[in-house]
Amino acid sequence: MQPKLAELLQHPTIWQTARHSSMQPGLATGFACLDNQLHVGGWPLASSTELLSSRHGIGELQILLPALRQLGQQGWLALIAPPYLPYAPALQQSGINLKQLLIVQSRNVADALWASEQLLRCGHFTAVLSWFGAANIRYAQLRKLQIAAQEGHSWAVLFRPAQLAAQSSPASLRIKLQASPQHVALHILKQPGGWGGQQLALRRPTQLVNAALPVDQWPVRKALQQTAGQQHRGMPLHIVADKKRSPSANIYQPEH
Amino acid sequence: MLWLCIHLPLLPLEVFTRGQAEGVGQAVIVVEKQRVLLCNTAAGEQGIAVGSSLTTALALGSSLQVIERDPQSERASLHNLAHWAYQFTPAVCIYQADALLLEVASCLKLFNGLSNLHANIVHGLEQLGYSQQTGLAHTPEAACLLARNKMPAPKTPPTPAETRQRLGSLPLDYLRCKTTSIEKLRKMGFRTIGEVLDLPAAALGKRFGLEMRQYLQRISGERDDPQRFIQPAPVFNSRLFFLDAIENSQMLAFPMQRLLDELCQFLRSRQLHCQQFVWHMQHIDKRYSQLVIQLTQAQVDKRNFMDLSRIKLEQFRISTSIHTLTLKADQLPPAKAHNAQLFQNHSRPASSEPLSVVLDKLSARLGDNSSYQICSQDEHLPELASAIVNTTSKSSAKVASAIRPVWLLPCPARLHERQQHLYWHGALQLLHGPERIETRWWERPARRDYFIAQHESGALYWVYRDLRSRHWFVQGLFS
Repeated sequence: MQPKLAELLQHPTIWQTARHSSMQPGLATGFACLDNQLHVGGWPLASSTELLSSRHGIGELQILLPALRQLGQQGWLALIAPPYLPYAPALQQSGINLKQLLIVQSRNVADALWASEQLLRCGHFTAVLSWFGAANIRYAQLRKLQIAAQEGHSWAVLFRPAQLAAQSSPASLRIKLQASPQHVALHILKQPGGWGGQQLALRRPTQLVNAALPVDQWPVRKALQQTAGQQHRGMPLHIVADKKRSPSANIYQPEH
Repeated sequence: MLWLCIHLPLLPLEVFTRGQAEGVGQAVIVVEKQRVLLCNTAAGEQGIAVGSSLTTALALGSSLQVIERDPQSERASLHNLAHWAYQFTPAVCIYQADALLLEVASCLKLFNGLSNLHANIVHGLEQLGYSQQTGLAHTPEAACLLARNKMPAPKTPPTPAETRQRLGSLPLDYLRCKTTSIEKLRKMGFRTIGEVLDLPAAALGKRFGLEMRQYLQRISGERDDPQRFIQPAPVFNSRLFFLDAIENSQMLAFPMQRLLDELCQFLRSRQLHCQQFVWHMQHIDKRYSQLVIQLTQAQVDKRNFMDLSRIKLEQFRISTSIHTLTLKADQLPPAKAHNAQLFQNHSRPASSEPLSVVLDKLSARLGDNSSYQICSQDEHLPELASAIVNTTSKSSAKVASAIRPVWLLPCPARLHERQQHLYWHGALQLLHGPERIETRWWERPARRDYFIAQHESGALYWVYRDLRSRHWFVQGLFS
């Protein structure tokens, strides 16, 4: 091989199917099936990752939490312009180090972009999670974040709307998330070190999606019947219930 | 003792013009009692002479800026300069309305020789925008005489004999005594100070009075001349005037740099750090505006101060022109030395700035309360169990065992109930629950049954039924 060509192939943005070893190994995601689908074996750090989803609450943070737990031990984490209030007890439960978690609120997208870039570049933050809402961000701005992440050895996670999946983006990993009743479906659009296009589903935590008590023992059944009025008595409730009793059911105290 | 006198011949003018960048060609004159007291070079080129009347000056000059002399700001500037000079020697006094006196014999070693020290002082004054004349002698009065006479400063500390020789050639007019006495001396045939100093003191005292005799003794050093030295001020306050009122916020960057220079010098000489500084701007319509810059960690870092000021300035809209810029700093804790890392940690990049600097930048651009941390509280009510804390405090709540969502709505949103179904941007199904939370009976009682509900799209929400109002609300999202 000519020396110039060899030099060119060393460039981090060029990958060859036959040569995986030159890529930096990723950080284990905590989900074996996801690790298997990613060519670098986990989240590609020191770059940006895009998670595209059309709504919140479908498990978009759940897939990041194991990695964030680990990164939180090594440095600071930042949430920039989160769509809702981050809830401390839940984050503490998932093992996130709250003492090294910074939350930044911004008035507009330009400020959020600026803050993300500053935090990525400064080198104190191991991961910076940014929400930009429905705003369409220019390619150059996304590229800036990607470079800032590389320079600051930080991991940029960008949450963007699902309808932008077809747009091109400089992020090294792009995953489209879709909700289903028991799972969160992942469609890898692009990933470092090889072809994208993989699809997989991760199960949501069982204690969330499994019902706890037999449905006919739920006090809410009575309550709903009361509020709905007399004429609907006896109509089946639209409630999904698992007949299995889960151990967490003992939280409930019967209403007097 | 070796005294250095710094005479500021253009102080009444430079109080106003030093805010300008070099080479601004605006002609400026300072007038007192309708006479031109001082004029800058641009005005001098137009033919205006010091001492001419205001009408003559106005007739000669085109686009001339006329400023009334302001003794109060001169005093303030001289006071600031005295504190600035405190960095060179602890013995500084304000000698006259336009002169400072520094005792330098004690600090020659520190500055590696007289010429070095002199160069430092001259360069520093140049940076601050003042022109100076210096004089060096063994007595304050003699130093003052030499300074006013534009004598070039000697390279090595002069001996008393050398000083005497340099003084000797000065004309009588420089003596600080009654003009009648000078006239009298001249009529007696004396031309230089040297000739007067050679006279026997007793004979002079007889003819010119005790005052004159003591003055001459103070010059020659035969009589003690105690001085009152300044005490360092506890707060910093310095201002710049603009001749052309500033309309563009970008034009403030240069004067800001000059004032920050002074601030950092002030802090370093007192071994203080700065916790907060304030830019105070006076508009031409007598309104004020302020930019407050709060620092996470007290520090002295001019570049960082300037960056933060610049970020604040970008958001600042100047409504009317500004004619005065003041920098104030009053939260000045004593400097704490920091331990640096001996070995560089190679896994992380060598970050050029500490975390506090990054946080300061964020709050400068996004607002003071934009970045925060959260901690758990020992509270049953979900909205109270998570609290916003400053970046430094510690939390000690224990981890709850029940399932909690990562996202909480800022305030619970009401669900719609239609035909036994719950709706919130789509139908909801209850999956899991209830979890009863009943608390705060002593103030605003809360009785709630919490459930996990699934949206028709698959998203999981945390909903509750308020047992008092019997309404349904969504409070969180399981993300």
